[in-house]
Amino acid sequence: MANQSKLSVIQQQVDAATALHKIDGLAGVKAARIERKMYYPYYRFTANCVVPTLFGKKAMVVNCLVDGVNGLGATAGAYSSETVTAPTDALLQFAVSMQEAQRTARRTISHQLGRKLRMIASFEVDVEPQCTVYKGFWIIRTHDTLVMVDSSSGCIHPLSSRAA
Amino acid sequence: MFGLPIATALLVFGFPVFWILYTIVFLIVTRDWVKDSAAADDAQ
Amino acid sequence: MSYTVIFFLVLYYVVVIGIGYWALRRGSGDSLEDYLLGGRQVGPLTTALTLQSTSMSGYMFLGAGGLGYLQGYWALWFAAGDIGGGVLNMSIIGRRMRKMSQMMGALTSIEYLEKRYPSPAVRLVAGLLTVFLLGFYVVAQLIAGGKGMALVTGIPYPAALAIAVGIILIYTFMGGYLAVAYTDFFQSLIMLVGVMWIMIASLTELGGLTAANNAIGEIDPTLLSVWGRGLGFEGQWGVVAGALLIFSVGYMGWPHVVTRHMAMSQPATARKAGVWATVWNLFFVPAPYLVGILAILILPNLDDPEMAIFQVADKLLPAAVTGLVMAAIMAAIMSTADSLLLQTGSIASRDLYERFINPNASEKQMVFVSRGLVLAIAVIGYAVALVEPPSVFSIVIFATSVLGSAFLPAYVCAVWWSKANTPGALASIVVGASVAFIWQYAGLVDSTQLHPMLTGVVSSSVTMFVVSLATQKISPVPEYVLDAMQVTTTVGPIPGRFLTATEFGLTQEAAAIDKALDGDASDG
Repeated sequence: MANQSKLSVIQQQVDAATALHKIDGLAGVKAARIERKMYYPYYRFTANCVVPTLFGKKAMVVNCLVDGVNGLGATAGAYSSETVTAPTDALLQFAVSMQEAQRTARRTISHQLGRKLRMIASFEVDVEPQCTVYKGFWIIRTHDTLVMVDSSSGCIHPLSSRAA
Repeated sequence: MFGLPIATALLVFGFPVFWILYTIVFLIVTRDWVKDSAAADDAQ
Repeated sequence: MSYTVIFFLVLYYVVVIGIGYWALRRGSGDSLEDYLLGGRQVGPLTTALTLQSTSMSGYMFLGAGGLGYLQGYWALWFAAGDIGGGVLNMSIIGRRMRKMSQMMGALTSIEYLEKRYPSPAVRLVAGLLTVFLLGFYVVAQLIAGGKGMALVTGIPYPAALAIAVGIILIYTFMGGYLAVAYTDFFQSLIMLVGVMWIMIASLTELGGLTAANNAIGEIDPTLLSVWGRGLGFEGQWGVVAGALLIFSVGYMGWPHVVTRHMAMSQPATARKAGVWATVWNLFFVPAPYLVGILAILILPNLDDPEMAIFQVADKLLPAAVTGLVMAAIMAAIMSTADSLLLQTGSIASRDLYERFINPNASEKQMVFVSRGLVLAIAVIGYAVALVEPPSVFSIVIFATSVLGSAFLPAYVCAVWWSKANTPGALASIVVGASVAFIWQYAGLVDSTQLHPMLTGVVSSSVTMFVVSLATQKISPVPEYVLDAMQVTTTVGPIPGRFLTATEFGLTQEAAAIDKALDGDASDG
């Protein structure tokens, strides 16, 4: 029996049936079935930011997720999470350390603030790590290929895996 | 046309027509690009 | 001094600041945070208007108008390429670059080049070249802003220039309150109305386009030809080709344009943005050139042809409208300068300082470097603009030719050709920039009748192919790049029906999950 792990997962909006329905709905698809569910790891950070403006300082809270596999950072909107139990072998492993991720988070948020506000200024960005979070991806096999469906957004991406 | 020599009229009107056609072809070729999803993904 | 114009200019900025203040103070700041996070995008029309209006810069209002005034309908060769520049960019690079840059995790377009063509030399050369050339383009905006402000307000040029530089620096150092989507949209709308108003007023003054062209024909029929005043460019197809290429493909070498692809959220956005770009460009690209041409009749004895559009507005529009429209135009110019300075500052701090001098630089240190460079450009730019201002047209054409020649093959091949390698990219950047630069300054345009943009792009493209193929064995394209290209270009065993279902945001997760599944399969 596979080992099980308890993990915090971004709340699922797309269940198995809906994911299958999405793929079935594509022209030319035959025999779509859920092969498995994989969980993708992220570091989660919240940052208390202070942005200087002409009218004084503006405080705001920004969320940031850092991809636990390739270290890419992205600011994120609010989302809810839930605790689930899943087979350990369904979890992708973290390849990036918390320290690296924290640095990436600070860099990403500062860059994003500067880019969006179009100003060169020192933003006070105080990054606090939160617990890690996973996102579920439905892996669906059709008659001729493998596809993944994001369980929170419903977005689809084909996989070029040679796994037969 | 508008008091312009033919070559100039071709320049003034021909290229805009070309780019309109190009854009229409672009629209047709990319018509299946996925629409923005309502729940936008987290990445920027 | 025109106090009415000054009043409306000031009023315009008060309104813009007011909008920015309202947007900032509204509720709990949700709108600003949403805007920052991009979780809820502003609509495609607002996006497109914002994107397009940042291209309405000093070149459009001074350079284009000036060229139309000097050379008549010859000027429209530049417009001909420009109309399609947006959709061309989107269709060739847009979607793929977004995926690639996400896979590479690049924050700037220069960092993206280093990740795709791994080598510190690529980042160093590309960074230095870009900072240098963007600096030129900023100077063009300073000249445009200063001259425009001087003309419409009557304030002496040195003071007007100082005011323009000051406002640009405020934008760049404290722009947060201005740069929300609402104010950009408001500015774009005013400018849209303003430019149309100037053109309609000009045509009305002259009794319509046909009457105007007939009158121009009587002054000098060669102004109506496609070969310029006195048929000066007759048969010079090499120069014509350059004019067509500059603002069509040349844009694909502009870091601040290419960066927009990296920020794109969804394929559908690229599609809509491409369409809006064409719609916008159809109206607004030819307009400044046309107003410049009509100015030949309205203002026959202009000292400075580059002031044609401003002078026409000043003459034909009511003072209050002139003030508002000039304010919008000034805002567009300064907004462009702000974007350029942000790019330049960002490249200097991240791609040069952090990368090569101080890898552990804090955000504060990088801000210091960025601001230092911006101030240096402002000071040098002010001095140049004051003492011996070159024409906006010549600066922009030069900078675009060199940048386009240097970077076009690098950015296009990055996403289209898996054999494009580091030596190929580095060589093409150096050769392209050198050829375009030398062609311009050694005066080779006249003797060869070939535009620097044409010779530059051809040289850099040939170099990319020859050097990449010749060095494939000693410098192969890294696996992670090939993997990224595989995923982003979706070649291989993926059925066609899925190509169109691919989502941008999942590209890197797909790559990692792919690898994990492959690993599981080989483990058995």
